[in-house]
Amino acid sequence: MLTLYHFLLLSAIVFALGIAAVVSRKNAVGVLIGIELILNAANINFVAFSRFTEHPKLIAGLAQPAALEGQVFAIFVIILAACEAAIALAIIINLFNTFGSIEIDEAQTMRG
Amino acid sequence: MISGAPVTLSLEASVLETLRGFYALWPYLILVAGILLVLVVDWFQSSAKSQRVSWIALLACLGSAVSLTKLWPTVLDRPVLLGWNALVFDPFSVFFSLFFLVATFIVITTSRTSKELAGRRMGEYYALLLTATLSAAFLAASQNLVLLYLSFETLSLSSYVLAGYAKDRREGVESSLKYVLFGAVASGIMLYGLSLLYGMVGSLELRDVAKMASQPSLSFLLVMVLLMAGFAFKMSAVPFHFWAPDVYQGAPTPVTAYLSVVSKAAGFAVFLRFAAPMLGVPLFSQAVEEMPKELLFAFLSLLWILATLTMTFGNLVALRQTDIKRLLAYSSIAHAGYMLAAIVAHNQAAYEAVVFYFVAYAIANLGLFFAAQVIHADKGTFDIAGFRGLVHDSPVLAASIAVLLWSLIGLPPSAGFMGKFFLFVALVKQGIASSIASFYYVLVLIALANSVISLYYYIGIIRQMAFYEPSTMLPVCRPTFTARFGLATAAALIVAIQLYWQPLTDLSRAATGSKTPVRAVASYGLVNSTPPRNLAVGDQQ
Repeated sequence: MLTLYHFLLLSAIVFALGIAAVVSRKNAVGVLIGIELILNAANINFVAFSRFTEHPKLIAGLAQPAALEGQVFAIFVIILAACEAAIALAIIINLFNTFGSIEIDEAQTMRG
Repeated sequence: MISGAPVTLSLEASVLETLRGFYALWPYLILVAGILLVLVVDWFQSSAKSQRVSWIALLACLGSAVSLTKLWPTVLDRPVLLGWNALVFDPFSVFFSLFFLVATFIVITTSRTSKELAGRRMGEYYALLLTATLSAAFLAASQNLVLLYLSFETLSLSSYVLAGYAKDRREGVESSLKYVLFGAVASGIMLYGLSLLYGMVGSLELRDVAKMASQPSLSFLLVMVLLMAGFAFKMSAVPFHFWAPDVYQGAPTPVTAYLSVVSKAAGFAVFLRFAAPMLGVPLFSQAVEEMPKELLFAFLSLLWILATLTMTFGNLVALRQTDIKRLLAYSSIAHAGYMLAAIVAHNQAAYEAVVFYFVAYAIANLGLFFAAQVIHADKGTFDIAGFRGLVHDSPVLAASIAVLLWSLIGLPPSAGFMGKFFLFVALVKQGIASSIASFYYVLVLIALANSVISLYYYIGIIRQMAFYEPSTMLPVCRPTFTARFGLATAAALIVAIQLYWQPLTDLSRAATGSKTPVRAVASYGLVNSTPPRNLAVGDQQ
């Protein structure tokens, strides 16, 4: 039986993989993929939390626990992730046109 | 004030509330209209005359600012809640909206004369600038985590493009790449924190989050650490400051000025609002919940360490900079540290001080980046060597720059001095009231020591301007009358605030929720002094 904690574990693993990709990749597109993993880890969390509303830590005295809020948030995140990917890819194309490479270490003209 | 209890309003009252909400939305609708108009009108302009659309952007800013000043008395009376409580227009958010608009207005006027942007199509540039301002204003007003994240990302996405707007310059490309990768990671980490927060609280509303803060838990602190990634990125505080020097140096100078003022202020505004209930500061419309002592102390210690590292790092690295934009980048990191230090005091005075400090900081930074742009236009360099012997080229320019730098050091007579003074007073006040006084006093001492370090590099520039002969290799700087006039005005404002700071302290007090000046203003008849109609949720019956 799948419980909330399985989903949380999955999202934690995806998040960790995303961070690992961001830290270790030298390729700009590789870093971008890592960022997408981080965003999707958060999405798993949102959807899982909104599915399992009988959360033990839900505090008393709140208004109705609106279960759909998390799902709506996830949809917003998907939209924003698309925007972010579009802008990041445009900048990476620009990087390729200017530096002839999409390796991040190539773009190191400013230091100090 | 607003409480969680559901209350039914009469039909008439709820219609009135809705109308009031639309009234509060006017300034932002004007801004949206400006964005669309700039884009559409730009289609019909030739490339050479693309700069014309800046007039529309200026008008939109002006119209929006005017209607915000009309809104100000209304929200002083009672905050306006909109969109199922997702947006709150209280003096805090209206003040910051106005602050962003004034700063954007100045940035647009400086963009018009920028050599770095000359010859490009400017429609998208101004549209993005206004979009960023709109989302910064919403960021300061958001009461809901979805809206918070949405406006945070919109602000970031517009800034990424703006930073790389000069897309054929190598530095521009590099800066936008670093900005987008760094920013996306920071906001991703913040989003992960938000998702955990949603799970813990079971709601996306900030006031429910505040209720959660009253229950001691270590996981809440962990979530705060994750969220700090996003906030610190926008404030350019250590350890999320790495983007700042490269982006500030590589971006077109007006954009740099924008990032250092508006983007940073938006980060602080959202953090101040988010943290207010947890720190026990009664910002408008937010219930204050006592955070358990140990948890509060852990959170304050985190801020304490961040503040100390931020200001020390910023000042020490600024010492060996030779590029003026890079130097100002590190100096702006250091200033973020001073303001974070004030937040450690977690009292009303600290919030007021941060607002006051931001005004002083904004005047100085907008002025100095504009000066850098003016010097670059004639001498073709951003190196500090360009400042050498400036007093021979243009005494007015040199004197104004000297005053602005003086204010950033925090020496009297300048607005920066008053800002620092209020920051330290807030910390000392908290120290006197607290049982762990040294916690606050040591922070004051560290901040003072940092001001002394910063003296060295700011005075270095003044020394270069005043006591050196101009470099014969570089052309003479001949600023236009408008440039000299603008900078002299900034310098005059800096001194004027020192001589007559009462209006600004009143404003910062009104903006952060102390009720005293509201009554004072009302007694002069500027505000409708009839008692509020008590339509606010929770006040009925």
